Amino acid sequence: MKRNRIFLILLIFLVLYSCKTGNYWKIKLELPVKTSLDISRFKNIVIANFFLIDDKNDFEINPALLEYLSSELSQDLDKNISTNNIALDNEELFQNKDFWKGQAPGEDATAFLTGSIEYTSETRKALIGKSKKQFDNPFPSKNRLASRKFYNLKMNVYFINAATGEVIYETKFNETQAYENPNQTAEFAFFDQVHKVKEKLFRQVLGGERIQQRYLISK
Amino acid sequence: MKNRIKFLVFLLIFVISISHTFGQSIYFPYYGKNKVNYTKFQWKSYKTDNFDIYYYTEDIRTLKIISELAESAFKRISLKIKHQLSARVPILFYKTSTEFQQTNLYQLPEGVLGVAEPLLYRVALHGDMPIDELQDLVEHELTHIFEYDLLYGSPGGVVYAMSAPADWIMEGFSEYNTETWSSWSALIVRDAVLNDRIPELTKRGSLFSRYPMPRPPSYDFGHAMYEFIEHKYGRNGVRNFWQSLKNSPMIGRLNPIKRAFNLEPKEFGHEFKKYIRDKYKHFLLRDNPENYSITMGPEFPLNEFWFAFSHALSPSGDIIAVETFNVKDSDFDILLLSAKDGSVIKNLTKGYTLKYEHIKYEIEPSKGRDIAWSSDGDRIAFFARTGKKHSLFIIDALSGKTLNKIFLNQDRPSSPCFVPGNNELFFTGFEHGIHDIFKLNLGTKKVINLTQDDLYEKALALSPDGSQIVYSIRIGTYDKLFLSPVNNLKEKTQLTFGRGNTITPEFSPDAKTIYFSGDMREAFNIYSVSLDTGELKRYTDVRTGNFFPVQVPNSPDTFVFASFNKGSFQIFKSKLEGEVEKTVTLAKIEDEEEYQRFEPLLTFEIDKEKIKPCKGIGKLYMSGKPPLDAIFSTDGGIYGGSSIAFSDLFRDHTFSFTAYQVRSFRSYYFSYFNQKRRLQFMASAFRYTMYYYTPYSYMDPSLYYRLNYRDAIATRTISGANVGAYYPFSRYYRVQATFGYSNYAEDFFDPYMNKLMGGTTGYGFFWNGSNVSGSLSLVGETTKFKNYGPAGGNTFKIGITQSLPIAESFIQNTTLQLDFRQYLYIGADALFAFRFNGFASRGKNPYISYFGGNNQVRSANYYSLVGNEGWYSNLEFRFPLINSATTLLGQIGPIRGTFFLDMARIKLKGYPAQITILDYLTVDGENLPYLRKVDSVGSYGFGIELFFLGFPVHLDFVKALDWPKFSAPFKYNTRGKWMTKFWIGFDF
Repeated sequence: MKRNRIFLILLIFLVLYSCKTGNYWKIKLELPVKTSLDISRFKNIVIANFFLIDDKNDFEINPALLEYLSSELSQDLDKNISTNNIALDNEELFQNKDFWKGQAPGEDATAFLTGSIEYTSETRKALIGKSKKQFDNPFPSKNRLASRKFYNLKMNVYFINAATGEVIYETKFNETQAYENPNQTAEFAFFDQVHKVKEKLFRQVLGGERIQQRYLISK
Repeated sequence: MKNRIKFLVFLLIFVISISHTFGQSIYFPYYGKNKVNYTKFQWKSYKTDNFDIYYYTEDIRTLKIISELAESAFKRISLKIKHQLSARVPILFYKTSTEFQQTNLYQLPEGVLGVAEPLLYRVALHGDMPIDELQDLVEHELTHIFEYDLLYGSPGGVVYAMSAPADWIMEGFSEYNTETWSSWSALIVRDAVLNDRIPELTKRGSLFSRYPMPRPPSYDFGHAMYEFIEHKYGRNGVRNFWQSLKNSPMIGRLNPIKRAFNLEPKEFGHEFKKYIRDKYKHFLLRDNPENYSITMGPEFPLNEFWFAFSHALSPSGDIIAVETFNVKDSDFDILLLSAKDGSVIKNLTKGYTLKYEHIKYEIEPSKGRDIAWSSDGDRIAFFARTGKKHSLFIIDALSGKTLNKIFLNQDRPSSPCFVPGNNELFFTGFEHGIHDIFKLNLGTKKVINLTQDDLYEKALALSPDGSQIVYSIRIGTYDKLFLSPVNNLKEKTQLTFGRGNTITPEFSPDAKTIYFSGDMREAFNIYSVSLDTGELKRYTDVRTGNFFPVQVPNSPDTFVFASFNKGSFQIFKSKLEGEVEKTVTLAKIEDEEEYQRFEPLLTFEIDKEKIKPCKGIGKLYMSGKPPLDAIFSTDGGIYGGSSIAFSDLFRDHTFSFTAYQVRSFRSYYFSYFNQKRRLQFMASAFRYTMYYYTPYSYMDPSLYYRLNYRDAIATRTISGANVGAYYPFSRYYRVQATFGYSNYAEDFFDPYMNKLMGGTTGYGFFWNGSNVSGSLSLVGETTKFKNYGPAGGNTFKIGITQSLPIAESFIQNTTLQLDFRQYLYIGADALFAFRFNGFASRGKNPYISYFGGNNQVRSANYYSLVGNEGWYSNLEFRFPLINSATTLLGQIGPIRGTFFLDMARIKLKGYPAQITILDYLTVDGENLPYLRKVDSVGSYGFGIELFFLGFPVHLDFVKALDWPKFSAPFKYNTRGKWMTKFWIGFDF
């Protein structure tokens, strides 16, 4: 018992000794992330309707999305942010330069933010062996049918130069989220996922910072 | 696990842990005050789209109101934060605040408006408030449920949570979602900002205020923080903030600000301060209350009184009676202050009393005054809590002697007004859920409801001749002033109009002018309206708020009023000049006129077919996270245990299971507790294993030299079942009875000891056998507790247990027990504490009891004084050394000192009442041990107690005493060296 105690003390001492700093320091640097798009040349950003692919949802996606994106962009960009209900019949329109040049004639330094959305949901069910809800009835039933609601958001996002009608940047997103809450509505889930898309999109377009860890060695 | 409680005044955040530990009484030596269930609630349920509403009133309008408010709140909050709850929400609605305090869900102190808990998503609240305020309350509590759902995913998810966000994140979000700033909340924030007392954000993201505040900053400054987030980051900013909380790992939740906004808490706090200072900067040029006059009081920390909840001016105008909080005594008092210089003339309610539990107070001025001074100058009236409801107390204005005490049936009485020249008093209160004006005859004690309508009347004042009454009524979301003749309150004349609240009215001495407070300029200022001309004058332009203006008699332009300054209300006296703002046309209101009522967002009809009575126990749920307890005793024993409990939705029925272990001895306890009615009962089954140290010297004194007391460890195992009932007479006194069967098995733990005894228990006092017994006890606890333990009052338990002669082989005895403790508070947290604990068990198989060690008999070994009859007594002088100390190990304190004196006697059946002790005799310079018999043992000495991590830790320096003859108490011996004893446990 005494021998074990001495061994334990020695072990603790060794561990503590090894933790002592050597001749170097760890430092963290915040480095700017290079953006995929130079948005600084545009004074105006117009958020246009998104083309809805196979929309069977019970809420209006475009008004919600446009309001969200314009609010978020206004926070992060010091530019004129506006929305425009441009009717989009098909996805080929994004490559139609004349179509986009005609949407903002005479406006310099304007870019359109638009794209297409496919937002779907499905319910998946499975048998689980034991209820995990121990806080519930002390005598729960053994087998329970569990179901989860899955919401999938696919977005193609385009930045289009209003002057030339050209697509200057495009990117794709595919977000899926499962919900245990059977009451979760499509509209509320949409906001959860579009928030994730926004985080990624803004990082690509507006930049940000990433943290790198470096070692500084001293003599 | 944290439950969210909305408080009107002082906040106490509960950590719910249901402790069903039934360990050695030394660890938890208090019997507890009673929670009296005066009302048997006949619950009914009704399902709406998202709620299960539980209520008990007969009036279906109550159900309609609460259903509409709940669904309206749900719709608004759900759309605002774009989240759908994963489960339905049970709402437990109590009609009045006093009935709400009878809930079995939690022990709720006065001032609690509602509570939301994360385990079952239950919301409990009461309806003693205007409808618009009830809507705010529902929204506040429902937001907590949304918070739990966002954080934990489902009901009960909290059990697995390892951390929780800071309080301001939770409470602030709840306040933010009401989209309302009460005048009171705005006042607190404005005052703190303008006095540069904005709370700081700590590194961990909590809000911390260096200065005392009327309530923790998490509510009001939390609300402001969310408005700042919306201002800086847009409406989605708030939602994004909660998304970051929801999606962060358990440990990441400790810094959600960094995660959401990429700002350190310090930077975020800096931005917030800039925002909030900018928001209130237009108040900077307004009056600072300290410019009005010297403070009339209270003057904490210059004296021990903090906060002027209510005040009344003497008829002569030279004394002010103030209801205030006594910080030293942790109690509410009524002071007399000089109106000349604010000096304290007298504390009329000094000290500890059993006449009432506490004086009633209202922190929100719009409810009106809580004290009144009679026009003859002889009497002061106030309300105080006495049992289920409140009573009116009338005391002598000079001596504080109680002249009259009248129990009232109305809930939350307020605004007492003596009728001049008459033995009557007006007041406001709730009756059947409606707030009305009442008249009380002080002689016959008869109460008449003078308004009997569904309007919310409050804050009344009587004209000097007693012919007119002015009061405020909640119209829509504003308080407006009305005037009526005293003999006909149906006849109303509206005095104030438009936006803003007008409250705390008071007549001028000539009854031609009404003085009041109004927030037409955001802050509450003093105004007057002439009853002759309708001229509206404003007298102040304060930055915070001025309330309860009273014109000093014979001094037309001088007023005594309360002003909110630096976190509390203080009284000021000043000459004020009024500026005419406008002239209003006083409007006589027709009786049948429809007043503007508050309408919820959603309205619907109640389907009576869906109302179902709640019968039986219903579904059971786990009551809370199982606690873990640990105690350390002077013999080195460590006690550890835990318990788990299941109860129904109302916690009227609780099933619990407790297991604990001391050394290697395990005990189990299972119980069912029914606390639905005033008479509460319990059924239990148990198996306890306890240990003590037998006095082996009785058998063979020579053993004393070969063994020590630890070798003589004996165990007692008790298995059995019993039923018990408990009936509280009041909060302080109760009778309790038990009846049951138990089987006792006692023996030495060490077989070697048994062999030494020749294989039989030569000791002869082990109890083995079955026992059917009943017991009856009277228990009382009036003891007042402070943070360090008992501070005044007394505690007692007297009981008799009788074993029934079921069969010859059954254990038979009669046992009497008495435990009495008295505390004499001297002042400055110093007190004398006295205890007498005695027992006597007689019969064929007398019961053995044991004590010793810790704070029972300090010089004796732990549980080594064993007998069938005996007593011990303690006298202690306890005093403070250090209130609080910050050390490397954390905050410790308070640190207190104790001088103590113990004494004990014990007797075993068949033996004289003497105790064998080991003493030393010096012979030729050598200390020779020898045994000596004495009548009593005891000790004296000095001890230090400190609180560390919530545990009371004691270090005692003890000198042993003995009395050879009990009949000669002043002839005693000291014995041995000074001993040092360490133990953890509560003071008696």
